[in-house]
Amino acid sequence: MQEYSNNKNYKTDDSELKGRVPMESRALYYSEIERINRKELEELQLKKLKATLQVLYEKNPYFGRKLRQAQVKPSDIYKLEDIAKIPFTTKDDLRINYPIGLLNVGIEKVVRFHVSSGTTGDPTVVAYTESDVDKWSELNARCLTMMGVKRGDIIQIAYGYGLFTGGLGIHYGAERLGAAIVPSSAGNTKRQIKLMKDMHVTVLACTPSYALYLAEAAIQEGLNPKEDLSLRVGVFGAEPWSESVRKRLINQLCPEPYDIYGLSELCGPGVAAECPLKNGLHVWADHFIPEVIDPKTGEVLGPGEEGELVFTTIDKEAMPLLRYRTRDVSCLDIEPCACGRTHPRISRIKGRDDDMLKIRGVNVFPSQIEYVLERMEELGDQYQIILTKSGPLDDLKVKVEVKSSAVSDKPWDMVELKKKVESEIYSVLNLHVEVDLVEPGSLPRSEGKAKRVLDLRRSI
Amino acid sequence: MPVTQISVFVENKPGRFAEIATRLEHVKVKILAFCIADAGDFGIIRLIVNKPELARKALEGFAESIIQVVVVPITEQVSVSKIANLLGSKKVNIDYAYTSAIPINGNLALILRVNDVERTEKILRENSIEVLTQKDFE
Repeated sequence: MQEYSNNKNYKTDDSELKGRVPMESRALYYSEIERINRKELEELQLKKLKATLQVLYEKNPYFGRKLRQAQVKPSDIYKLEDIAKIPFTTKDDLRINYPIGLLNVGIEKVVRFHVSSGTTGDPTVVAYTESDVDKWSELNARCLTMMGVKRGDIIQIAYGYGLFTGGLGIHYGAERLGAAIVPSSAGNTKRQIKLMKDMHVTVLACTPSYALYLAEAAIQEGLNPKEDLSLRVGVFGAEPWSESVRKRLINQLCPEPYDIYGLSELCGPGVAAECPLKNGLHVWADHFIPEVIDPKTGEVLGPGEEGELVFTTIDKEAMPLLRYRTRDVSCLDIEPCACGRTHPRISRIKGRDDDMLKIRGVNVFPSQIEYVLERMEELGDQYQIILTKSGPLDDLKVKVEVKSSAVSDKPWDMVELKKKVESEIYSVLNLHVEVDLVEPGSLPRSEGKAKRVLDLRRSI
Repeated sequence: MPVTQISVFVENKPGRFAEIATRLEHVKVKILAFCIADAGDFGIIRLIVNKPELARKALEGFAESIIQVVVVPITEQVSVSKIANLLGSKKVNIDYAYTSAIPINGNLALILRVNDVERTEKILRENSIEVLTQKDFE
């Protein structure tokens, strides 16, 4: 079987492609493997899956034990469907092994750690070898290229840099493909807008809620973002967002907003992204095997059936994961895409597989609120969602603890913060939710997520 | 050296100010001036104390921050009106002001929240108006 490495000829070098590819169809692939035929892709997946399983079975005490307990040997895997024999990995497995119990290489091979925030409990640590960082960079370069980002573009990366994977993940991908990076990181909205304007930034990478906030702030400053800024492409991820948000972003900020998906446990951003057809997100299946399961029974669901997304990493060294349950709700589409890519697509994430709430006819996942809160530095880790009934209508209120860094001697500033949280939640849910800022330590502490939702509707 | 004001975030419910006052009393920190500014469901308690470092330690667990303010003793010669008129004429905007709860070195004092503490203190001193420093409270 042919080994697919990154074919340098497919880099998005304008001079090389001119005259060979008609202008309008220059969708541009970063790597030839994006168009590998399905049969070869599946052979490659099977081979990599078996290799990953072999390594974990032999060398990883935790996964080795889990596999033995489930009586699964690497030699039991004959075809891709046999993956269903492998036990799931959950966030709890990561917590039990906090911080680096799942490390599958010696520490001397690790070049990076990222730490995911602890909004739903303890933080989780993810490690990378040099090769892991290299491959992660390539995956992000594939995503950005797919969105039309190329050498000559100026990309402002307003995802947080640091422990969060968002900033550095996109950064390495953009650098790989040769775009010029403005590493603005998160926060300081005024400066973000000034930089976008003065530097003629063409690509903005940030959360969709922050993108909406930037657009509003720019308008408040008297700018017309569509005319005064040069944005062409938006790389928006790290939280679920809807088609109505896409419309608002097109109207207010940039003509081409794309969804990008990832989670730190797998690597960070770059696991999947939209192609120009924007009909689902291509999962880089030479690195991850996606499955959709029934969250209650664990049964594998067929294409088009909605359930919990599960990923197996098949090309990672430092911390491979077997059938990792993401709690994200989506469905799989294995039909070939008109963009030419053969990698399967997942539908846009609806939210996490937790207790969905129905508020005034709107489906609300508590995790959508959590996505917003965990990204705001001024807010603490604890929050509570309270459901009440006012007349015939349901009301949703969020209590969130503030941190000292949020405290101003002028209460008005704190009211502004409250409004900012409310507007960010609105941008994700399309529903006005009242936010109460509360003192640190005032909310009940709980292990699980369920207790974060307090339903007072029946008792009133 | 200007004076430190501690701003503490509190929910608008009974007992919160008592909690703060009690904690400070326990570590023998004296509240010299305070002012509560409310904004609906929560408020900010602003405090001037004799030992700000110690006070902040005692308030651990609260969300709080500090800023510098200008503190001017009110005397027979230096009235509130005189201070306000002087600063007004020099285009110094007073964001908010309150007075001390007890006399400091014999006089009640006016606590001023201004944008430029250094410039404000300079203007006052140039006009022979005394400005207190944190040291005066020890």
